[in-house]
This record gives sequence, C-alpha cells and structure tokens, in this order.
Amino acid sequence: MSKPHNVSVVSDFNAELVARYISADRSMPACAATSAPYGQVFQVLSNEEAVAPDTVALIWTRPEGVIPEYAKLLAGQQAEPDRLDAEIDAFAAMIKRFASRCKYVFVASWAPTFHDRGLGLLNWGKQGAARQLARMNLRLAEQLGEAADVFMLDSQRWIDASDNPRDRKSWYLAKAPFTEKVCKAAAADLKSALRTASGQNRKLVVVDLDDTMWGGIVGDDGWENLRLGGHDHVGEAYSEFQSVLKTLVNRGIAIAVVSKNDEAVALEAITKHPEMIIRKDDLAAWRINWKDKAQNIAELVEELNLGLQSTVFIDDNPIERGRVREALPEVLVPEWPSDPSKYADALRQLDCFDRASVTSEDRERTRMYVQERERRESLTVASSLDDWHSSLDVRVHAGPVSASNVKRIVQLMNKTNQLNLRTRRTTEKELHQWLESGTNRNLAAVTVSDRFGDLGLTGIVSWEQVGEAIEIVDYVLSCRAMGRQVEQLMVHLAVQAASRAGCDTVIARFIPTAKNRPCLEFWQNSGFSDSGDNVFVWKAASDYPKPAFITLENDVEPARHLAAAI
Amino acid sequence: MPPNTGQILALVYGCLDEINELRPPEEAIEKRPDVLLVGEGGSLDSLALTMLILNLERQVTKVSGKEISLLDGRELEDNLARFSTPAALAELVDEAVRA
Repeated sequence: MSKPHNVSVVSDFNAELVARYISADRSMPACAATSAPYGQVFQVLSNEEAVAPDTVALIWTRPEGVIPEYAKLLAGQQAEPDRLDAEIDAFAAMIKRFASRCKYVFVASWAPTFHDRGLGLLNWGKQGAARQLARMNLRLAEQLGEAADVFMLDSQRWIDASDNPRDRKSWYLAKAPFTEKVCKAAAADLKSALRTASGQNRKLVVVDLDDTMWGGIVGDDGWENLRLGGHDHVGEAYSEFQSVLKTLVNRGIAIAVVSKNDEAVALEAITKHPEMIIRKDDLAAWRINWKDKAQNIAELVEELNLGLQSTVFIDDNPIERGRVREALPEVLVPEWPSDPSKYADALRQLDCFDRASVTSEDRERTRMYVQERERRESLTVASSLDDWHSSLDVRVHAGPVSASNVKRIVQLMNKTNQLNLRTRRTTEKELHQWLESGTNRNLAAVTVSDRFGDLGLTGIVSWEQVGEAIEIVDYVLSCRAMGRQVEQLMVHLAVQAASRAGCDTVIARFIPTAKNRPCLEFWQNSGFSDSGDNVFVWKAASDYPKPAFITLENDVEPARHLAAAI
Repeated sequence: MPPNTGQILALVYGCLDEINELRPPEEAIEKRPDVLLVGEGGSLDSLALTMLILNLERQVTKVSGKEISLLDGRELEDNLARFSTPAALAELVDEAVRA
C-alpha cells in the first residue's frame, strides 16, 4: 500500500468538510487531507513552510474573499477594471509561487457564493457581477494555464451536483457556505483530478453493438431496420451516443467493439448504415464472434498492447457486464442505464477519460491503431521478421526535452507500465529539477515513424553519471513502439552518451513492479551482462550498435543546455 | 400531513448516514434512538453537529413542506442537550413541525 497523498485544502471559508470528505473517500489514490486555517489564504500561499513538500493543494476561494475589487462590485460600488485585473494577476502569481513547493495544485474556478440578483438586467453589463466573474475566471485560467502541475477545476459542477447547494445559516453558523453534497462532489473531483494528473486514466472503451451502439439486433433485424438516427427519438439517442464516442476518439481515447454477432453482418452495418457515426476507421480493433466477451476483451487489449486497467467496457446487458466485472476486475464496467436516451450522458459523465494534457499523440491515437493493424497484416506476408523490420523503414528522432514535448514526456513516464525500467513517476516540475541537478544528467525523447505513419513520441531514455559510470535512470517505451528494435536503439543512445562523457561503464538497474516483467526480459536479452540483483552492465569500450534498419537523427544536446529549454 | 415519529426518526437516520460517510466503518454511529451524539461520550464535533442539524432541517422542510428551525437563537454549544440523541432530535423536529 503506497503512502497516502498529503492534501491541504486552502480556503477563505470553512472547508473542513471538504478535507474530511477527501480523507474519507475510499477510491484510489488514498489521501490524508487537512484544511488550512480558513480566511488566511494569502498567509498560507505566501508562507514557505505552510505545506510539506509534495503536498497536493486544493485552493477554493470565494471571489469576493480574495479579490477586493469584486467585493466592491457586489457592494454596489464602481469597480476599476485595471485594478480588478491586477488583483487577479497578483493572486495567480501567488498561486504559481506556492505551486513550486507542491506536487500538484488544483484551483477551483470562482462561482457566486450566494444567489444575488445584483444589477438584474445589467448583471452582464460592464459593471455587472456576472460579466466580471466570467472575465475573472478567464483571466485566472489564462494566468495559470502555463504553470506546470497547476490545474483549474470547475466548481460550478460541484454546485450543480446538489438541489440545495448553498446554506446561509451554515455560513452564519460555521462560515461554510456550501452544503455537504457540494463538498462531497468537490472531494470526488479532487480525487479524480489527482488520478488524471498522475496518469491513471483510461485509454480504451470497448463497446457492445446490439442495443448499445444501435437499437435492435442486427442479425435478426438486418442493418436497414436498426434504430439509429432518423426521425425517431430512440434512433436519435443512439446517434447521440455514437457522437459522444466520436468525441472521445477525437480526444485520443481508442474505441473498440466486442459483440456477439456474425462478423460479416455486423461490419456490413458499420460500413453501410447511412446514420452510423462510428465507422471502421474509428475502431482501434474489434472482436465480433460468439465467444465469451471477457475472453475477447482480454485478447483485444493484448492486441492493442494496452492494460486491462486502461479499459472501460460498455454493454446494455447486465449479465455481460457482471461476467466481465467478475472475470476482469481491472476493467471498469460502469452501471449502464436501461433507457437509451440516457446513454450519451452516462458516457459524458465518466471521469475516467479526463486528461491532464492532450498531446498530438493522443489526438492521433486511433489512426495509429489503424496503422498498426496494417503493419500486422504486412507481417503475415513478410518472409521473415528481419525482412519485415527492413520493410518498415523505421525512422527515429532523438531529441532533448523542450517546452513543446515536456507534457508528453511526463505523460509517458506516468502511464507506461510494461517497458519501464524503474517506473519513476514524475511531474513537469520534478523532471525539470532532476535535469538541473546531478552530474551529466540528460534525457532523449524518442519519436518513431515508419512507412505506415507516425507513432509519435513513444520512448524516453535518461541517464546520469555516477562515478565513472553512466546509469540509465528512465528507460520507457510505449507498448505501441515495442518490437521494432527501438528498444536497442534507446540503449545505443545511452552507450553513446557514456562514450562522450568518457565513462567506462553503462548500468541499468531494474526495479520490479507487478507490470514491468517485459522490461526485465528485454534487459536479460539485451547483451548487457547480468551482475545479479537486477543490475545489468555494459562496458562502454564496446560499441552498442544501432539496429541497422533504423535511420536515426540524434539532436540530443549536452546536458547543460537543457534546463533553459523547458 | 406532518410526518409521524417513525418517519422523523428515519430522516434523522438518513442524516446520520451522511455523517457516517465521513467516518471509518468501524467508527460509524449506530442508528439507535438513544445513541449519544454529543456531550460526554458523544461522537459528533461541532462541525458534524452543525451539518447534521442543518441537513435535518432541509430534509424535514422537503418532506413536510414547512420550513423549520431547530436552533432557537442560542449558541449551538448552549443547546447540546437538545441534540444529544436521535430520539431527542426527533422530538425537536416533531415540536417544530406541529408548532
């Protein structure tokens, strides 16, 4: 059991209840939360010793509690826009400084503390509170947007979770303006945000077809008679559900189908039905047959080189849901409404697809899976594995950490399990600090492409000098780039770095986890000598050759130039 | 129709469920009419008691359609005996609904 996250709730009102809900929430990761003394937001944010290092902070304030110019507006006085902006900027700057001492900082967007008609008809006019509050949130989001490991959370969503979100009497009695359901929703959102920021989100949705993707049984009714789109409220509901799935595809979540059907019949519906929104090119994979769905899901997930913990399964049939839950407990199987008109919202409300960043690799994920399918098909016609490797025309670019790729690097380090030497999880800030200290520390970000397309930034190898040796610190490769000898190429980069640094040895220390056995197997067959205790050694006097069929472009700069680039 | 004693007690227990969500299962407050909530040997601190009372007021208002106030203007700390057990709370609610 890992140590619980230390969470500090910083607020200008009594947010003790939020802290209690965070501590009591049994979902992972475990948290131990406390609330800072309320009404002392500025003191806490500016006090170097207010929180322990690695604290996760939730900053939830009333706009009138921290922005005096907005309080003036609520009191019917004229607000100075420049002054308002300056106060927001100062608050944001304070949060950013505070964030440098925390692991993550989550800042609640500002919402009206209590209902107030304000200027009524003119509430969206220049001096209207509604208009100014919207501006304030926008400005705060812009100010915090570029800060590493600082995220804004939508507090309106917490307020919307309750029929009675506010309570004046509670404010007068305990300086707690929001009712318990709001506090509970805030705590749940904080936990979800923490999972997302540390890379524990889901990457794949496996969807059933009949009465889930469309209305009706395609094998019985024929694709022409399915309820999907058209002038039919049920058909529209299925259509809307598919639209939400398509939105997920656009955001980089892979969609796959597992269905008990005749494959040819089902694929004909996907191809020919004029109202289908999800087409074959949107599907990363499918298993359409009469086999057990749990077995199909397990095979499909393996085919995509993903983990079951990355997978969500959606099926209208409670028996199938129960079977998958029982057989594959790591797969998230949400309860599913029986009414199709609720499908789209049920999917929209799942928080497991949230992202801390959306990289170009995310957006291209489905296209990459389709290309991977084509690659596998080409493997079956190649005469040997070497021929297939040569035919792929693999090109690798090794580049330094930069402002444009650091989010993807952190994402990869936090999400990759199988080919991961030490499974070091990190934040942007921690990575930056790591690169700036130590001796000869450096990191190569590996971008892979081949004749089928671009696989994106899929590998990371970092190292540091320890005495006369170069130690490999991070050795991470996304599953989708495995098996193309990019593994060996990344080792080649580290050995080259050792030669440049005049070191005589390269060391890789494997730290086992429940999921990184493939990495151990790689190192056992890497050519490095096994010196016991999961330590692998190479003498840098010998070259570690680059795989012949890979074209390498190496732009990794000497370590000292890196910090300024981030 | 104002809620009867059994219904009021059920509302109190519903609010206790909310409080129990904040406690480890082994420290859950038992749902018995005479279980001690506050005072010596009681398990609620002032924040939890405030949450319980205000939530109960909202629930009773929803069910009875009548807005009630269980606090009579004195400070909460001076009122503890009135909220000492679920039965005492139910009695308070009953009085307030019938007033």
